[in-house]
Amino acid sequence: MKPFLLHAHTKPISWIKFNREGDLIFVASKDALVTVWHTHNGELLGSYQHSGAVTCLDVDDSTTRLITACADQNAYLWDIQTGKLICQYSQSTPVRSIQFAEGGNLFLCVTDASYKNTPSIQIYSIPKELYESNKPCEKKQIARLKIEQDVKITHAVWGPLNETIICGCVDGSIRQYDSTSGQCLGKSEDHHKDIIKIALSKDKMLLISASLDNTAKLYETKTLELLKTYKSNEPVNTAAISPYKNHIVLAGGIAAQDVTLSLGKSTYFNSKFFHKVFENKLGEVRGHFGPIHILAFTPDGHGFASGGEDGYVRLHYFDKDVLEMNDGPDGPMD
Amino acid sequence: MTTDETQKSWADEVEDNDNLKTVVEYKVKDGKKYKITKKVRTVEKTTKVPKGVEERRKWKKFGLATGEKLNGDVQITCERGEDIFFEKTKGTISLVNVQNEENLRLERFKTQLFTAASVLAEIPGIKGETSGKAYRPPANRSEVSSPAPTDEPKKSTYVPPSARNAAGTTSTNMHDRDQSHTVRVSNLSDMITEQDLRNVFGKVGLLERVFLVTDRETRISKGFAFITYSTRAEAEKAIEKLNHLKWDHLILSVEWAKN
Repeated sequence: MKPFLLHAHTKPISWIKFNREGDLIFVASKDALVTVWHTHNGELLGSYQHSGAVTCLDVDDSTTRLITACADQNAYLWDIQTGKLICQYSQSTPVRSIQFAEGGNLFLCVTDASYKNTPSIQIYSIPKELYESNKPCEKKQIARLKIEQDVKITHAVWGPLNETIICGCVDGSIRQYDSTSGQCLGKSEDHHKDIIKIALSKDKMLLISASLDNTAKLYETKTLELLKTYKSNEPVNTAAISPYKNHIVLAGGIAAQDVTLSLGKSTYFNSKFFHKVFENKLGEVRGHFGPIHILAFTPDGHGFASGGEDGYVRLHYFDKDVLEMNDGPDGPMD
Repeated sequence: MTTDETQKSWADEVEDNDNLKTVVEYKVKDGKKYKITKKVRTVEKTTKVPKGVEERRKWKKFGLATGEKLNGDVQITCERGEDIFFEKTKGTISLVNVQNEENLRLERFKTQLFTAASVLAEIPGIKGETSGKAYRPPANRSEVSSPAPTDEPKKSTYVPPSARNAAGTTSTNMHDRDQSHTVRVSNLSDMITEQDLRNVFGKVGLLERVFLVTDRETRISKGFAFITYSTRAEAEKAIEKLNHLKWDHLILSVEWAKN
């Protein structure tokens, strides 16, 4: 396979997101820029200029609105087609992660801790008029619900049918909250180091967590029951579940500042593929020359994109032999 | 393709259908005029995309993509990277193949080695289960100490590179180890893994340590291994039974490890 190498960012890539049809790819970077590219030819469509490092982003299902989480203590709502800023959600600490709820009229954002503030997950609703017109909204937006917690949250996602919110924390725990009452429903503590990212399968029934303890773990979303463990040799920064095959991809690498403190080699920054059920390693795709921060499968599962410390986004489409690989008695799903 | 006007090329005889176009151009080189005839086949490929996607492809560019705000240090490129491959992990090319191979290996094992019924009785898991089952010593040998775990827990203390083995863990000192129970297995095919060795050699006796020698960089097997049994008798048995065994396309050589 010949990957597209998308290069517009001068600093590490922090997030990648495909829109629902998979024809656009959104890239957030620490150089205060969000770019959007066509996936069929790798052409740059546009950019959204921020004033601080962008940590996370999400696109709604109709590909009209984009939300971004920024380290300048704001979350932003953008019009995708024109690149205009519509609304700004001020916080008192940097925003770490952000996600649209199913349906696109709610979103959550995760804020960091500071001297006065505890780490929190905040839920905002997006009024209809923000979808209908592209006029910038000056009104101050107030969070609908605030879930506070004593441990720093690294990433939070909506559970199935927006009923729950699941978050990964720096103490290695995964916690589940009710999205209407903010009540804690459950907790799993299988990882012994920071969880960096969590991701759900396409049907949201499975959850995978990527952790600095060199493993990725697969959970049942509803009960947070541990199902499988995938072992890597390096810290895992990101993991994803394929929507097409029984595959798991995970990636990471030892960060440059930790090389002298660790035993491993720092020269391998590959995306590693595992079998979802049998936990065995199927193969690797190499290419990056720095730790990989984010992986995302295309919505049809025929390819994947990876973004890393080197500022490159590599957009791969699998060769036939990978797509036709025998991956168990079930064969291809979907 | 350079052809003379008078001389007909064999390629001209290719039947003309609708997709085939002929492009003729003239070029002057070294004072000579050449006529270049190119036949071009155009292939039409239709892909269906959702309506929204088609619409989005017509969207106007904005921000950096318009090229207005470009300053010196931002360079936008999209290149087609060099051809890279999905590097498959050895032995897991296909799930079914692995199982078949395992069965084949077992089959071969059955026919070549343990024809004697008495020996067969000693081997658990020869029918049905294929992997993971190590040889269990009979009850009267319970005083034999349990095998030392080969995966030593990683210590956080610094280990000089010279003292690390392929797995990155501290290797125990070669000279401290008792070599009298150790056999050296050579002429292994490089597809054989440590687990394979455990499966095969574990059936002869209680294994204490299996060490497949691999290249430090590539992790590819160098084709020989050291296997330590718990007693010398078991090691002797392994040499007797497994020397000259045909495994994959090679014939094994099992002998005492030299000090």
